[in-house]
Amino acid sequence: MKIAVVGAGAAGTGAAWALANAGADVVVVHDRAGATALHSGALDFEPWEKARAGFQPTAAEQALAHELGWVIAPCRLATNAGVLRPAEGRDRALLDLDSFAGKRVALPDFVRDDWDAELLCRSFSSSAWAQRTGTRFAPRSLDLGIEIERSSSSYDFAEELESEAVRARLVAAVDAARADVDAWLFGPWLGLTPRAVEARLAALSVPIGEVLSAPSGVAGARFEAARDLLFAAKGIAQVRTRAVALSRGASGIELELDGAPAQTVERVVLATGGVLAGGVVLVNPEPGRVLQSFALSLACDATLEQGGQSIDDVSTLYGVDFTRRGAELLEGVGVGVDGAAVRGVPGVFAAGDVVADRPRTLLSALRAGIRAAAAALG
Amino acid sequence: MAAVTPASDRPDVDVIVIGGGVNGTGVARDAALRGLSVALFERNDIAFGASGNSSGMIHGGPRYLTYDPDVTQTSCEDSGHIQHIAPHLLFRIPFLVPIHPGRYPASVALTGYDSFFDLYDKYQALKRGKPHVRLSVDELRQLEPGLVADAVGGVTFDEWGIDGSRLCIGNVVDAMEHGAKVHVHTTVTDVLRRDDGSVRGVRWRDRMTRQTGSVTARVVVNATGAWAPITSALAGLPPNAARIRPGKGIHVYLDRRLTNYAIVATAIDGRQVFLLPWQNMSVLGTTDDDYYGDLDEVVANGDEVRYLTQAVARVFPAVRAARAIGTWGGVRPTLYAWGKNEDKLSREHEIVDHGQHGADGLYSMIGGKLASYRIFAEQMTDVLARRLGNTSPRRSHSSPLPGGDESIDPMSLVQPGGIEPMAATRLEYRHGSRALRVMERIAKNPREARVVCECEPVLEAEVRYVVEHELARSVDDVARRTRLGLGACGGMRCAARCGALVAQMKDRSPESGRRDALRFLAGAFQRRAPAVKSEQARQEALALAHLGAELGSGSDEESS
Repeated sequence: MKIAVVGAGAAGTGAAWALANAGADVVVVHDRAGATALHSGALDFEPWEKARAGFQPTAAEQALAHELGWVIAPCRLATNAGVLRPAEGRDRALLDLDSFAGKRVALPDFVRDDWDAELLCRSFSSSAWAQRTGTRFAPRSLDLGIEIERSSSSYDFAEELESEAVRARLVAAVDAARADVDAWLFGPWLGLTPRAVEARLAALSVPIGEVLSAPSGVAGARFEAARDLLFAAKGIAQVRTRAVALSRGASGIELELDGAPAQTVERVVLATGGVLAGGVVLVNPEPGRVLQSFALSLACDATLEQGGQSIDDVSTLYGVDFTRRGAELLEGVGVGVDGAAVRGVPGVFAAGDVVADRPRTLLSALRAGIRAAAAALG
Repeated sequence: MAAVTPASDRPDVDVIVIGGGVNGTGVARDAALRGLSVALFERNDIAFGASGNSSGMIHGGPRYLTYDPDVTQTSCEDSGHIQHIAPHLLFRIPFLVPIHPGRYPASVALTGYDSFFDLYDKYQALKRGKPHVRLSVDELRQLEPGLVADAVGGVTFDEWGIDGSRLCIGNVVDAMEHGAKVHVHTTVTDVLRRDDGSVRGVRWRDRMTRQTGSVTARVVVNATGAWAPITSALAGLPPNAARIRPGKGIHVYLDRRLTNYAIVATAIDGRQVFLLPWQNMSVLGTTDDDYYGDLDEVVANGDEVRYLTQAVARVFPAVRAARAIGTWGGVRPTLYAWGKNEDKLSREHEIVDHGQHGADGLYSMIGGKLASYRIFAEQMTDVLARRLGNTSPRRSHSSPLPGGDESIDPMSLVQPGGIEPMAATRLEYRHGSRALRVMERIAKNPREARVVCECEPVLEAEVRYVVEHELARSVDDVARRTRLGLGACGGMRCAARCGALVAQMKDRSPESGRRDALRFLAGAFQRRAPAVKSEQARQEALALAHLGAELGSGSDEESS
């Protein structure tokens, strides 16, 4: 069966992987970076501060997460805003502080725009968790034998740390401080691919891990690198362009693409993401687009909802006004589904942030993608 | 006139000023320069109200020429003085008035504008403004290719831009350096009066620490702008003893300078509005509507944003596609009048002596504008000086504001500290020669060269400087002084860091620093919300996701 997956974030990757495993002929159409490619490295099923869902991963989810360089297991992560927060999983490069409760965690004292070891230590040390467990955080100098550039991007710095000479210095410096440091908490600089991270961690005598990445930081880059390897290994075709429209034709579903031949497929899994990813677009009023508030990024008969109500239809020539509606609109709006099937559009299934009113979290997207694959096959 | 008072009854200070806007800080400075002892109380932050939310110009007000020429004269004169004492804070804004075919033939309209600005040119010399120029269609198009094609010509005139918040900060810092005690986030809860009705001081409450206290004084000045009737009610007077006509004005700001010239447009109701290149962005302004809401919570709404956008888009269509990154709103304290529409209200100012209401020693400053704040403050201080028997000379027009004493080349800051040219330019703009003091911090501790806010940009040293020397107590305060977090990313990357810095310096918990940051971010979202268009919707969603991951609710509760 030929199936198209539109979007290659957590949901699209989950769907494509599960479909390929089931023997389907999969083509993934995707365009620009979405929520997963911009993610922080923390894996949640529900927003972390609202609920402890106690996520129980299936074997399939565990296997896929492993391929993506992720670990699904309860953990405690540090953010660059000074918060120690629980998560249901993490990018493997992030330091799980639960493993170092009561221990000594050092933060390198690099002078960089994206890093303030002193303030972070002040904040982490005062947290209820650190106080209860007696975990100590302290800035510490770490001589890498290079001039550390204050304003370079986290990518550039990560790349610099991957160079042969610096790698050796890092191993030596960490080893030298072994007697009084149990773990190092770094900024998001450990490596641009899961393999690089793996290699680095294997060489060290004391564990190093990152804090959460800023938007468009290295955690997202690592996901993309891992995903592309995975697709190649599974024989999943990728077409990097925008899907323009989907419609029912005589021989199946016609997926019209921007600058590439149209694809005719039997099923489509829509995993374009929500407003953040550009899968759902806020419509600026213009002739012919009045009465619209939000629209899918590709033309399709699905209707958009939020809070159980239709939301694509508004009575203004001037666009949606957020003064009243607030930010929830941006997080909640998406297509209505029955199970994973898009209401009113036979043969089309949806997963991830493009679905209305689901938590905007990676693990729920991953699970939804795998389930949408099952629904599409069934 | 000063009676001899027994030591036990000697007031704590000569003058209490209530209000930290441009009038209040101006009076506090002038009085302090003349050697009077001063205490100033501000309920929110310095420049929290109209002063920090104006169009950011000390303009001569050509609009007032037809019905209030005295205002034009005073504004131009005082604008010249302000340039002299704070040259670093001023930047030239050349205006373009495109003339479109309308009721009158093009040549008539052009000639009309020409002669009107001939008249205005007479005042320009007072503020070192350039005379107006009449432009052909071709010249107009050359200067601003984005203007719609149907203009028949245009006229230029010259104005000065200023950062109103920085102007107030300059005044308040100067006042403090001349002995004034200044209390921000400290509201006056009572104006104390003696049995004979005369005023003897105020009771105050710090809204952050909840501490309370009282201070006595020989006179009390109500310089609370749109809050003036509330303040007069605190003294037990009827609110109309210090009556104003509250006119809400909002601005929309865009992420970059779209034009080199400010462009004047006509709104649907015939009012003049504008698109203004201002600091490193563009500003649409402004509205003028009676306002009866909470003065601490003035925010633009969607109607106001669309009214301005539609007006400017008629002459400069690209404004519709431009990215709006925020709005600001303030309430003008114009002189009270019933039955006039908002635009026709006088921008004059006046001093009310509440002796006439039985409250001897209490004065209210009503009205005024940024461009003539100094002279208004001087007039008020003259009254105080006469009453208190102070004969020191007036100095507020000749004594420079902090940082205005000498001009420095921002590029000279680039070398020693290794800071980026853009950061240096912005730093010098805000602080004038005092940028050197910020740089001294970096020389002592090179870590402080770290960039906290990338958009503006703002360095850690400047954040620390404004907390230490400019009364900043929160992220919002830092933003008002440095424009941190007000750029394209809306504080997403810098608010938490800034909150942590302020909390550390003020010896507060990291958790309170995060709550402070979240408050700032929520306010910033509320101010952006009415202007959000398609492009930004994505970014807003990204900011929500990022903050959700990094900060959550900001609290430090342990999960089970």
